[in-house]
Amino acid sequence: MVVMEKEEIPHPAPLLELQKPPEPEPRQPVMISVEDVDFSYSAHQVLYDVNLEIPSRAVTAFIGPSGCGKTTLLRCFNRMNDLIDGARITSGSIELDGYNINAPDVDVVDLRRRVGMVFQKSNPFPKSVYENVAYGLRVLGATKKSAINEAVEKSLRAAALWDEVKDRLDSSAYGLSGGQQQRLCIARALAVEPEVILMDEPCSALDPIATAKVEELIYQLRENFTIVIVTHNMQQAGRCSNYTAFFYLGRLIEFGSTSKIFSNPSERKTEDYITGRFG
Amino acid sequence: MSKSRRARNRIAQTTAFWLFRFATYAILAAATYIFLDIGIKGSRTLFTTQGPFINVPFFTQGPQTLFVFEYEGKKYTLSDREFRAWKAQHPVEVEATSVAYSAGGVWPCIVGTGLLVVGSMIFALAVGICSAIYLNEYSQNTRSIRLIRIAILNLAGVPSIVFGLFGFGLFVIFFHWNVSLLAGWFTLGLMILPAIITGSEESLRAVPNGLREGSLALGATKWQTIRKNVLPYAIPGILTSSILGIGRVAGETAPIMFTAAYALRDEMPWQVQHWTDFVFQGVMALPYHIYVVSSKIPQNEYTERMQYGAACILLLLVFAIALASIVLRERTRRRLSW
Amino acid sequence: MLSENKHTLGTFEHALENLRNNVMTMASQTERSLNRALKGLMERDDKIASVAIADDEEIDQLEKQIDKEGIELLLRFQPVASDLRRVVSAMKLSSNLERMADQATNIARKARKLNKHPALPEILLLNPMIEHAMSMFRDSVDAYVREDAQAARAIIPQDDALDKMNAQVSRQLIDRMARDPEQLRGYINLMFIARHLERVGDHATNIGEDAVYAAAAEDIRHQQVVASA
Repeated sequence: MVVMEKEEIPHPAPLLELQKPPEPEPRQPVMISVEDVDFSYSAHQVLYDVNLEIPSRAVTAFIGPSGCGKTTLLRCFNRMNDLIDGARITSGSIELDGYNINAPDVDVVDLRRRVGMVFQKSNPFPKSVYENVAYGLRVLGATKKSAINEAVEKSLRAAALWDEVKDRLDSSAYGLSGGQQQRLCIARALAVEPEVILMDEPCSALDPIATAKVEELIYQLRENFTIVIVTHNMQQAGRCSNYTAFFYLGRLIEFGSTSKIFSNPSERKTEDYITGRFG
Repeated sequence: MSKSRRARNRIAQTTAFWLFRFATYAILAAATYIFLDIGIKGSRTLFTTQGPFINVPFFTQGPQTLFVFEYEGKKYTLSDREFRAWKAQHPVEVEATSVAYSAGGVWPCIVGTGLLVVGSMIFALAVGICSAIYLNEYSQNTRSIRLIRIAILNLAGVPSIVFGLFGFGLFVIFFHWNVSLLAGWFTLGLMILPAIITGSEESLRAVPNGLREGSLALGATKWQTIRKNVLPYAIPGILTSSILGIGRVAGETAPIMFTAAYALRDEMPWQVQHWTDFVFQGVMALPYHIYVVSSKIPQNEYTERMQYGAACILLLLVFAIALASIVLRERTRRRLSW
Repeated sequence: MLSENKHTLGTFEHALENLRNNVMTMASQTERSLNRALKGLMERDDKIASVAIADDEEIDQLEKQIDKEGIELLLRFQPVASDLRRVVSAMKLSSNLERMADQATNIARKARKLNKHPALPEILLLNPMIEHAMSMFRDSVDAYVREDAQAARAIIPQDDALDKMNAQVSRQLIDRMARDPEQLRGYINLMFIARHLERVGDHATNIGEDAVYAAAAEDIRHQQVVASA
């Protein structure tokens, strides 16, 4: 009887481990995660295969020429694009703090409270300064006057506007200057205690001093909020942001720390855009 | 540019200017003529030369028959009640010509018109504003919505007599409401509904979209946004469109002819057996009264006085309501302007 | 990473072009000064040495001009990335070139002093250094103009060779000084000239480092061991 030696069953070769690219910076916690997102307005596609991670408690700037999709992506984060007929994400997902914001059981109203927005053209409501800031609170159901007073003061202080308006809380918001109105809109967004603040070209309509005040405000807010700002002004992106994402024709071309993008970008298109060689 | 062309340009410019000016002043002249005509003739009825300077019986009594006769060389024009009182005092046979509707006043008509205006405006504003909110804020631009808008526009062009017939057929006959305030309210309300809807939609559209977006971005629901941030600012515009509606509702005769108006009614609207009967009663109305006095009876100087008096009151009533509306609009506009 | 596209803003493109041209002009004038000074030394020609000294004035003015244009570019156009590196390195280059021209002046002055006395055969000891330093200079400017980081990196190790040559020449001259004290003054001047040539090599190295920065965004200064490209 031949004793058959047990054949050594060869183990299958270990799966090739995915090579991890060397991480240049320590990993930041991620607030918003965009995965393989395509976006279309009816039949017209505007975002192609966007992959992006917005780090939390930092300022990320979206730059790119007009029509490149940066504002569209911004408005996806708080689902404001839902207001437009036919606008939808055709593939991919966007996650806020790990939760898919387009899932059917998501409360859009709550999402919009958590992700606040400041618009390009400041839109204070035709009410008093106090009522503007209190609006979000009242909508949430707050009724106690003392609580509202406290929250209004806290938001106005956080927006660096308290000293300028504390004596005229009941005057119309339209009596404020352009820069003050924009800071009022920021205070209004802060009042509902969001986690993320989206800003769509917040300084484009402001004079340099007002712009500087808003930029200083953004700098101070970064400690407590995740901020995403769309801007046409590259110097502003350079001054304000920690990270920059460059978009072109609906695609994300490059994403990295602002100092890297502005001193030595990896992509030719990025370099051409920021040095003004486009077109 | 050549000299002749410059001259031609100047002529064209001057002609255009004077044409537009003429048209404007022609309208002004026509309106002035109408108001003066009614005003002057009407004030002969409404105002007196002595005493409280207002013809109080005209405002406080119902229409009565006028008796004209001569007695001992004097010409008497007495209303029915006065005539009977006089006859009680002077038991003689006199030949009196009677003129219907030419004595007394139009108090029940004023009340009736007022009730019709209030009721129909409430109905039209309620339904109209709700429709406008739905059409402007909630609906998508689908084919069926476009059809609805076309239907509303067409409704605006329907002649008022057709509304009257419709109201008669549906409310009076089919619903068994008979000639009643209720039927009048719905008929008149439907008549001005297109204007209210269009006007309200325009006002809602005029509210900048930034207010809606800003509110939604803060975490408000759609209804909260409309209630707190859109509707209050559309109110002045809605009130403006309602002013025109009030004028029409007060003055239209055809819709109320078969549905709400009586030529003569002895009881006042609040003299009902049961409070539910209040809406099921017909009323007298100023425009219908003018129609009755003008066409149903032979014309003479006495009837003319009544016509113009009633017309003047109608005008004054419309002016008063319009003024109230304007004042209200100005005050809300100041509070809520942007 | 050279881009073929021009800047959309014509004035910006024009200003950068202007700055670059000025740097190239200054480099060629510096080269000319050095050549003249060295000619005046080797061919014992006082006139040409004086011309070299006089030219220094012009080169100084160019340095000021380049710095002024650079600052204005920065404040007007706020350049970023490669444009920023070009402007900053242009300004640094101008300072290096100006110092090189000063070295040329120094060489010319020493040449005039030497020419007052009979020729020294030891002057030929300087030839290898002259060749090496001048080739470093030309290569470094060339690498800067062509934005060739690789060529620029190759210059750095050459500085070591030049330093060694300088040390050797010094030793040889000290030796001569001991043996022939009569010619002490001459030998000392020669040593100084060798020193000036060694400084020219240092400045060429700096230009090479600035060229690498402009082309590749890498700061390779002050590295003990630089891997050759």
